[in-house]
This record gives sequence, structure tokens and C-alpha cells, in this order.
Amino acid sequence: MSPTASTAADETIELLRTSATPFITRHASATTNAQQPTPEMLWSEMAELGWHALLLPESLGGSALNLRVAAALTRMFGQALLPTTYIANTIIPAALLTAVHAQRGNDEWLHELALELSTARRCLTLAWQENIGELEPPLPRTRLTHGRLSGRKLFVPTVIGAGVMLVTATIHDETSDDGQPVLVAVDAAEPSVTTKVHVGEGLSVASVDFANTPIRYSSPLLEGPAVLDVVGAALDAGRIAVAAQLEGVAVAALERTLQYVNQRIQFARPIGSFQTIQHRCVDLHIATLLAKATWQHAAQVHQDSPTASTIARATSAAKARCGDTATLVGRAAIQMHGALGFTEEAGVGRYLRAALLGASWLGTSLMHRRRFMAHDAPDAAEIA
Amino acid sequence: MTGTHSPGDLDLLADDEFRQRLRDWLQEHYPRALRQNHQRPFRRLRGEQALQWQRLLLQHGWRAPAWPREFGGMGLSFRKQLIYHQEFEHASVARVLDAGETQLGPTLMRWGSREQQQQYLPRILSCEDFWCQGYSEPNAGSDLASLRTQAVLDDTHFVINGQKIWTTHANDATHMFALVRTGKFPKRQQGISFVLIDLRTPGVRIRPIINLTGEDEFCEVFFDDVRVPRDNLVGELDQGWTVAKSLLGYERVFIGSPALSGKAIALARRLVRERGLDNDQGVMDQLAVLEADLHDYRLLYTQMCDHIAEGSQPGAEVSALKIYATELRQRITEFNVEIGAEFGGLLGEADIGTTTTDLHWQLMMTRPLSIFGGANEIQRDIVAKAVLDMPTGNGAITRLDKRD
Repeated sequence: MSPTASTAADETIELLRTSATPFITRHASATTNAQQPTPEMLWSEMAELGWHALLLPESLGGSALNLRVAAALTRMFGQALLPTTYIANTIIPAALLTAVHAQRGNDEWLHELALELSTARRCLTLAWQENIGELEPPLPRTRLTHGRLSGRKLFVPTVIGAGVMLVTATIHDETSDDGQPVLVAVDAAEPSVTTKVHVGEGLSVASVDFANTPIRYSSPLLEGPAVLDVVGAALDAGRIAVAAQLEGVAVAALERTLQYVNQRIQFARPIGSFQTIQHRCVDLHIATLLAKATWQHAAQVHQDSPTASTIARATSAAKARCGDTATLVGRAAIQMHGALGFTEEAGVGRYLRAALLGASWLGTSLMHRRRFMAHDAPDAAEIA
Repeated sequence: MTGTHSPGDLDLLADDEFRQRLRDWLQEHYPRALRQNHQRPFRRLRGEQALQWQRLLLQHGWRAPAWPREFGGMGLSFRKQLIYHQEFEHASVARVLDAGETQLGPTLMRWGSREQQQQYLPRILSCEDFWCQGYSEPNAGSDLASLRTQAVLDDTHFVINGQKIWTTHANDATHMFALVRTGKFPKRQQGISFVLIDLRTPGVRIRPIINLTGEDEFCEVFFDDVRVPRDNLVGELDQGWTVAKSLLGYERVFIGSPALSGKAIALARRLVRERGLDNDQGVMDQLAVLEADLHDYRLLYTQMCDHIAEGSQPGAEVSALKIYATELRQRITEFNVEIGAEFGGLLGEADIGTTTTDLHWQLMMTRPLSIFGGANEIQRDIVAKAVLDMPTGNGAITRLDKRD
């Protein structure tokens, strides 16, 4: 990337940061449950700020910004412990629609979905996973037969209001090659869709059953092996954004812990003056430096668009590092706050909960390190 | 200088051209037999081999990349210095610990008199003089300000009595730059002076200390009424602490280089294959942690170096690099010992499959990394105070490298 492009992106990020600060400050200052913003409130405010359209191409009415910008935003959400819904319901669907757009061109329904997303009229979510612990989109067992969907998806981020699910399936009827993967849109409110919701800090996910459920537009959005590729690419975009959010969580948890240990007096001195506390904090700080370097690198690699394998390697390194770092700092924050840290009221535990959510969703650190190793190809950074 | 290029050429070259020119030159001129390899991944050169290599560098205009050209160096920008180090690492060139080039030279350029610069700097480049650093004493290690080696000034000379220890390569050196106590002040950092000592002066006695790799890399140095000309004072009398502090500049960044960890991980991969453990998921997961740690650290190191190349001063964050880089290299060598199984407990050469290595040597070579140059505990103290702004406890902090 040329220095000017880099500078332009940096300026965009700076502008976005400035416009995001009032939103974030207002919502982050909510300390009681009663003050917490509802997902619906956040969702429509984000639409007013234009954030749902950031990643969409201009031809779909978006701002065509890159993932670096979106990740800078999710990092701020992480620092403020704001929900992860932006990644699940904006970044991943937008990456998916963008990739489908590149394959299919200007389909009318694509414009409709993009408009629904950017105006927050409908909330989108991607339903791809069918097994616990999956990283790559599998050839789905969920079946599409004569425009009706049957099967079960796991860990589907829940939608706000009347949402739309983007679902992977394989087609089984005479209209198509039997067994081809397809991507379809489904109204989440269809009566034949049943869900069981699991709650996490900042994101709820559901097991979703489809029982002969009709699909929107009566035909797939995309068909053929490319389905798995575009879904995989959208997941990696989401993972980079999650990594940035996790680094934000880690930095904020450490910041809050530093404030605490520097004013908490025991043995007639701040406990932050003890070497053992200091050294722990330094190690956590170093971990956050590494974490930041990894997601920034991954976002850059994603933007420079080399091979899927290069993106996979950089993304998995970032997801593993940021997941491990956020959970490490989250646990240490509880410990260094003492008994106070173990109370619900103090709110310190929310950092660990947010870390656990982000570290496990879209693949654990262990899984991502294995994927990182599987895509072993020396990249530019490794010349150093 | 009978160089292959005039000194001004290189910094004008595009980065890639510079890299290629150096790569070709190293390929042609660095002796294959002296390369770092699986047996000696962290090999260093000393003695005659080091001298010959450094004279060759000088002859071809590749010596002292960081020194300004007016003092006979290459005068490279920080970015080109980075490339310079990368290419040396890429070519598996063994390192030379040359305190004259990396430490004394820059100090004399800043604090030395014109006469001192003219007298000493060319002799550092030509390797006529070889310098060692005399800071640590038996009771002044991390707490350097408590040093007690005494220098009493008469009309023309300092008379030095006392002892230095952990002096790297004192037994190869002709000279020492040392911190000595010249006065008594309420603050211990005051009353210390920076002096240049010819080690051939009567009253100097050097005793090598054998380290855990079986090598005599460091020494004790004793001073018994050693007379050092007054002109050998660098900077003001009693202001040696300030002089010495200024040494801790850009060169510190290179301590954090990930290159040697790269050599160690290459050995790790190879040993795993040799032992047929590449299908052992437990082993592969351990290796993956180390590979990911190195991958991620390279990103951080590159990022920090880029900031410096763009003009930031290297600050206390450099301590963070030192901590992580050194401990990572230790962890990799520990993994290699584990993979070496029985050989991990034995000294000397080990044949594992078709690879000949020395597991004990590399494990021990990485032990002092977290001790010298400010122990990692001290580095953590620095980051805690200077970066995280954590409170000082009881007891004053009197480390040389505390940021003010």
C-alpha cells in the first residue's frame, strides 16, 4: 500500500473516532443495568451515524471503506464494553453481500438487502455453522428442496426485531445440480423457524431449526462452490473485527486495573507500588501490544487482498492472540481487584465475559493457532 | 579506504537495491564455515576471526552502519540500519560483540573532546583497539549506582583501585571504558566519572570466568593503583552517570531483534520432523504457540522500528521488546531440549536423525539474555514506571536506565 493511501485511511479512522466518541462515551458511562442501552437503541443510532453502510460498496449505497476502519470502530466498542452485535449483524453480513455482489452483479434483491441493512430496517445474520468447533464453512447438511429449507444451524447471532437470516444449505431437487451449496435468505419471523437462545456478554447466539421454511425471493442468492468461499471470507472479516474488539477489551480492562491498583492502599502504600503487581501489569501490557500489532496486520493483509491463505494465516494469528490476551487480562483484572473484582456490582467481570465471548465465537485460540500453522507460508512480516 | 563503493553511495540507494547489494556482498565474502547453523544457531565471533571479519567490513565500506560518515562510519538512516541487520541475520553471519563500535563510539561522538575523538574512533574502526565495558561490580549489578571502584585524582592522573566483574571479553580487549567513583555526594548517581583505561597499564589484572556454556566470555578485572591520565576523562568530572545514560539509544532496539528466535524455531521445526513428531498434536500445539508468538512479535518489532524510522525516539517501550524477545528465545530453546528427549540432559553434540546440534549449549546461551543489559526484572520496573505510570514504592530507584 502506498503511504498516501495509508494516510487517507488514517484520516478516515481519525474522523470516525471523533464522530464515534460522543456515542461511545454516552453508552459506556451506563453503569447500572437500567441505564444500559437496549440493542434496538444502539442499532438505530448506529444507522443514523451511517455505520451500517461503512463496508458496503458504493454501488450498493455504501461508503466502501475498508476493514481497517471498521476494526478501529470495533476496538472502541471493546474498550467501552459495547455489544458485539455490530460485527455479527453488520460487518459479516456486509462482507457477505459485498462478496456476493462481486459474483452476481446488480441483483435487485441484493440492493434490497443492502438497503435494509444500512437503514437498520431489517437486521441481518449469517447462519452457517452446523457443528460445535467449526472454523471453515462445511458442505451444509441443511437442505433446500423446492424453495423450502430444513435443518439445524448452531451459534447463529440473534437478530434485532424482524431480522433476515442468510443461511447456507445444499440444494436437493431437480432445478439444480443435486448437492450444490447455496446461500438463501429467510425471514427470521417465519413460524416454522424455532430458536433456542444462549446469552453471552455483548452477543446472544441461537440454535435455529428450519422445518420446511420458505425462503425469501423464492430462489438462492448464490449457488455453487463459491458459496463456501464467500462465507469463509465474510467469517475472516468478522474475525479480524472481533480481534480488534478483544484488544479493546483487554486494553480497557488493564487501564481500569491500573487505576485501581494505583489508588488502592494496603500496608500503607498503593498496591501498584509492589513489584509483583507491577510486573504482572507489564506482562499484560506487552500482551496488548502484541495483540494490537496482530489485528492491525490482519486488517492490512485483508485490505491488500493477497491469497485467501495469506488472509487466513494473518487472521487466525490475530484471533488467537487477541482472544488469549483478552481472557488473560480479564482474569488478571478480577484477581488484582481482590474480592471486589468477584462482585457483580463492580462490573470488572464483564471484561472477562466479553473476552470469553469473543475468544470462543468464530473459533477458539487453539483452533486458530492450528489454522495459522496449516497456512504456513512466510509472509512479508516474517522477513524481519 | 579501498571500498567497493564510496561512503556516500549507499544511503542514496533505494531500500531494495541496498538490500540486494549487501546480500550479494555477504554471499561472496562471509566465510561459510563461520555461519550460524543448527549446531551453533547463536554463534558469535571473537578473537582473530572477529578481527579479520571486521577489517574486511571496513575495507569494503560496510563497517559501523550507525556511525556518521564524518567519523568514518556508513552514516545509514535507521531504516537502512534495520535492513543492514536483517541481511546479516539472513546470511547467518555470526555476531561480534564490539562495545567500541556500539557503545563507546557514539558516546565519544557526543561527549568526547576533539582529541579523544581523533585518537580513539579510527582505532575502533580499524580494530587496533578493542574495547570492553566496565560497569558492573560485585555489589553493583542492577543497582549500578552503588559502584565503589575508586579513582583519586592527583595532578596528572587518576589512581584507580577496585574491581569490575561480568566484563564481557575483557580478556580480548586492549581498553576498557569504565564508571568509577571520583567524589562523594548525597545522591549516589553523582560523583561517578566515565574514564578510558588502557588495560596494559601496570596494576590491571584480568581473570576470565567460565560460564555455563563452557566459554570464557566474561571476566573479573582488578585495579591496583592503576594510573590513568587525566585526559582520559570523558565529559565532566563526577558527571559520568549522565554520560553513560546517553549510551542507551537506538542500539538498544536491536537487542529486541527476532532474528535469533527465528534460527531457534527453524531448529525446532527440524527436530520435530527428525523425531517424527509432526503428527503428535500435543507437540504440534506447543510448537504452534511458539510459532505464533514469534510471528506476532515480528509484527510488533517491525511496527516499533517503523515508528522510530519515522522519527520517534526509542523510549521505554524498547524495554518491552527486550523482555519479550529474550524470553521467547529462551522458551524456544527449552522446547528444543524437550524434543531432544534424552539428549536434552546431555552436554555437547547430539545427533538427532540427520541433524547435529548442541541442545545444552543453546539452552545455556539464552540464559543470560534476561540478565544482562538490565535484567528483565529491571526492564519490567522501567515499563511499570515509565509507560504505565505506576507508583514508586519505598527505596529510591537508582538504575542507570531509569527514564527521567
